[in-house]
Amino acid sequence: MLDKINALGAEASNEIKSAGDSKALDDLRIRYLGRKGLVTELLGQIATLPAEEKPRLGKELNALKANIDGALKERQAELARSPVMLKDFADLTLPGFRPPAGSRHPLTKTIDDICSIFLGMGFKIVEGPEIETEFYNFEALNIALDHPSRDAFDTFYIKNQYMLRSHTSPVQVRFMETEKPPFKIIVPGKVYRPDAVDASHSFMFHQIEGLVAGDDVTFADLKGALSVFIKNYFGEDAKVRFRPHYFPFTEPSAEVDVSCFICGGKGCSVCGKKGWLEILGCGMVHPNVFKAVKYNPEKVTGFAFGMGVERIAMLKYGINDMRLFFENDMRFLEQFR
Amino acid sequence: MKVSYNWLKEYVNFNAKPKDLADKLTMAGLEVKGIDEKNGDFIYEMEVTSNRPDWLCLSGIAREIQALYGLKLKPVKSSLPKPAKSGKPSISIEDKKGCLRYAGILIDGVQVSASPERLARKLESAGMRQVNNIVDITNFCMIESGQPLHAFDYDKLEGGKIIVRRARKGEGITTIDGIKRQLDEDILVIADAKRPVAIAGIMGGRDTEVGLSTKKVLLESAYFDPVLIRRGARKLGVSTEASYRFERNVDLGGCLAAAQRATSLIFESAKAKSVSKPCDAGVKGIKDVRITLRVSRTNRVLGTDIPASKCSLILKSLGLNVRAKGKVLSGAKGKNALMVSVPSFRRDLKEEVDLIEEISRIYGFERIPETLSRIQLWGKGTQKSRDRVIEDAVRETLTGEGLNEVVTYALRCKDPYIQQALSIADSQALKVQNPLSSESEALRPVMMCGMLDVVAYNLNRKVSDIKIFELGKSYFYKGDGTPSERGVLAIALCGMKEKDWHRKEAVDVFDLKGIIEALFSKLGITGYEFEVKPIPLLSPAASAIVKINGKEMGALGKVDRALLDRYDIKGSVFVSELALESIYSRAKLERKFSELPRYPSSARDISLIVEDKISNKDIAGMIKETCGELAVNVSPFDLYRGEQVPEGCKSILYSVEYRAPDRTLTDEEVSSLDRKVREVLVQKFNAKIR
Repeated sequence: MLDKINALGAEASNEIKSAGDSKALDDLRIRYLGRKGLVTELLGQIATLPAEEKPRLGKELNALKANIDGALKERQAELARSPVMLKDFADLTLPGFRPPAGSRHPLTKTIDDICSIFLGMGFKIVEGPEIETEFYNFEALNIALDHPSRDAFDTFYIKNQYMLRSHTSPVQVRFMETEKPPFKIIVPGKVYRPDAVDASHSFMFHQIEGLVAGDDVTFADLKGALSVFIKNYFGEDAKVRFRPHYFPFTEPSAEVDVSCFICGGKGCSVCGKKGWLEILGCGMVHPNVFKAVKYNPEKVTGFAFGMGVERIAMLKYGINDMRLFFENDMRFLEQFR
Repeated sequence: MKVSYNWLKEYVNFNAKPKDLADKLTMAGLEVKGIDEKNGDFIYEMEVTSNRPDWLCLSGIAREIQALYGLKLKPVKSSLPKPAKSGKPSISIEDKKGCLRYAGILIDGVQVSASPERLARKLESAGMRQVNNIVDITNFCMIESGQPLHAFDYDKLEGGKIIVRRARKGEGITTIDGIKRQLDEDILVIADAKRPVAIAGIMGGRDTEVGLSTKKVLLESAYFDPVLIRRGARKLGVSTEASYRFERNVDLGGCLAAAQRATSLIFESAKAKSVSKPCDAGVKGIKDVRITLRVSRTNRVLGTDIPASKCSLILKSLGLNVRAKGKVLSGAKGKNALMVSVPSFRRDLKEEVDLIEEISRIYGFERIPETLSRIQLWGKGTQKSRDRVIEDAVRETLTGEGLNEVVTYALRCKDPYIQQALSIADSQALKVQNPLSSESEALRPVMMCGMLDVVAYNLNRKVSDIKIFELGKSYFYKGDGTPSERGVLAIALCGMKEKDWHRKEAVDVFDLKGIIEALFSKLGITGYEFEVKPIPLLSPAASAIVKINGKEMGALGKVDRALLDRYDIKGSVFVSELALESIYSRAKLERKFSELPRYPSSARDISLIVEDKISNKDIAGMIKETCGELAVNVSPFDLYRGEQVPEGCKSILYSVEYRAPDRTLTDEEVSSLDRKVREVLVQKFNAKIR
């Protein structure tokens, strides 16, 4: 009898522990403690036992009953604490409901990032029309007609001497026509050139132009301002070099290279093994440009610079094909959220 | 341009290693883009800026090296044979503007053959093809001195004459490349007594070219007008080594010397019998250009402290003549003025600033300090312009609404369908005169084209949920015929509302309207309304114009099926275009607190059935009109058409919130207002109240 009691206790304990829900527990309660339950049945057998065993086994059986009852309650409580049993259980392995989040286009974001550095340096953002005239796009900028320097400025023409600006520099002229120095301006915008579309060309692209004019603005100031910009944008470790170049509207003119941030200047495929990335053109405003807007070049000096936004964005984000900017694939755009 | 490192050494004695020299030249503005090691030589690929024709030859580059390293040029040795007493060529220049100078020398008794190996290799290093010893020497001299030369077979020149003139209409020539070309008055030619024998400065004629049978050579060394050559070359669609140099200016003072150098080489190499005296037609007595350089001005522009002596040294090293011109010069402040005379090989140096640039280049940009002090003082605290701040708010709001910003081409193919729908005559379409292809044919009249391009592109890539906006421009001709542009905010939606796995519902025109309302609210724009109206390119079933204070500023709606079909778009697309100008002028970003209501409000719902033609604007307007200021909010909250609602009618529910500013409205007051509203709606709109 004692063996039976012990075996029943062990069996009940195992079954209760493995019960998965309250329905299973209810069944177990009936199986052991119900009116026809296994424990109840044993209790019924007590009467048939010899008198000297009755008190001891009766005690054992009552203890078993209490144990099972306790185990059932405990398991019940345990199950009640398990989240799956809760009516409002949430399976948090399911994806969340995201609030809508759109993305800025990498080009306008790049323009913003660049402009905000210059805003911090006290520059003002100025914009101008995309449809321009010969005077603003070329003449006032000292770009001679029928000169090879025009080769760099192939232009889309519209009727009656109008054209799509081939650079943002005409805005310099428009601004100076109405404003007096000193000033510091930055001019972002779209420009157009008849270049067939491929991985590194587009007939429409973006430029950011800068112009500073006043008394005694020097080439040293130009170097200072652009170095601040470059270190802000490309990082404090970026090295900068100014290389003489030619632009009709500035003299002296320079191209600015930044040490390749991909290879750290050692030379890689991005920088063409040179260790340097060409990122902008600049120079001291040519006296003829000041004359065109009726400034006295003896009194006013200044510097100007310009950069291609697509190129900088491609370098910054590691984008290898310019067409991606204008195809606007949602999967591309959403990477810039 | 290809330049041989070894060959350069014949003109200046430098020690710099190939890579070092390349770096030095690059940092002086003569960019070496690549170095190619070949048979013990190093071939530089150089990029010469258009202002420096003097760098289009080895002697010019050698002059730069001289300045950069403080060296001396090696003299070029050539011994001109004693010329014959007679037989000077007959040269006349008819177009004196087109040809400033024409030097010709006759070389008699030449033996035309292949060039010696040494010469051939040099030409190869410069990327030039071998022809024969005479032509090769002319090319050699061009690479050396930058002066293009041409050799004629003299015996083939009719009348033994050279005339420099404009071509006549109807004249033609077969050039040495075998192409027959039509000429006209815009083209400068070299002619003999009868016909053009060369296109001046561009290409020689085949009839008179030097060949194996040539015995007598006429060597041409001239200065042609750069603009004329450039226009001519463009018109004929050719660019040659010669035209490239003439376009950029050759050394007017060096024509004769170049002809003599070639003559001596040809005389020697082609075993000629005699050479004539040169005929040097055109300008005589070429003077140096004189420029005054103020050292103070130089330092003022550069932000440096370079002494006069250093400036002088730099300019001299570039081959210029410099004289200190102390007190004599009254106009230029101070004693530190330099009188510089510029020889003809540097005609790019015309004014003081050109010399300042030369000083800065040779001094070294890297030695110029980096300063900020002065310019930092101006524009302190300059704020972003208001328009820019508003633009930022637009971008922030719309990305916050889950829209992706796009940038599309303003130039695209002309769309006759859109033009017609917008009543734009073809003459009023903003066409580009020189498009690259149909892709860049015209400026878009509406932003919608770009939006639909993006939708179609994404749909083709199985990306179907598209919510986008762009801040761009549309283009048009103004009444006076001038082309113009206006800023536009465009929005487009298509596909599913949410991308979440649990919610899938197609976007509709109210999502678009809601975005516009959210934007206006964010921008503090009030007084706007949406007026239902058919709009070109939009479906009449769902389109409206947007007005602010009664002024039309944009439109929204569902894109017309016929237009979508043109883009192969199957689903519905909703677009809006709003004038940025109106947004800028109406936006009010500043906020003011207004007192919270003191007394509670009570709400009543009204359920009614009305004819479809009765709009929300009608109903809500009538309720407000009826209750005056006491109805503080009238909002529809359910709309139903279908079973139990008669055909042509809708069932609509309104919640009306009542509140008085000065007291709590009693239940009776609210109920009486509610009754009044119901009566009015029945009366005015024949509404059935449920």
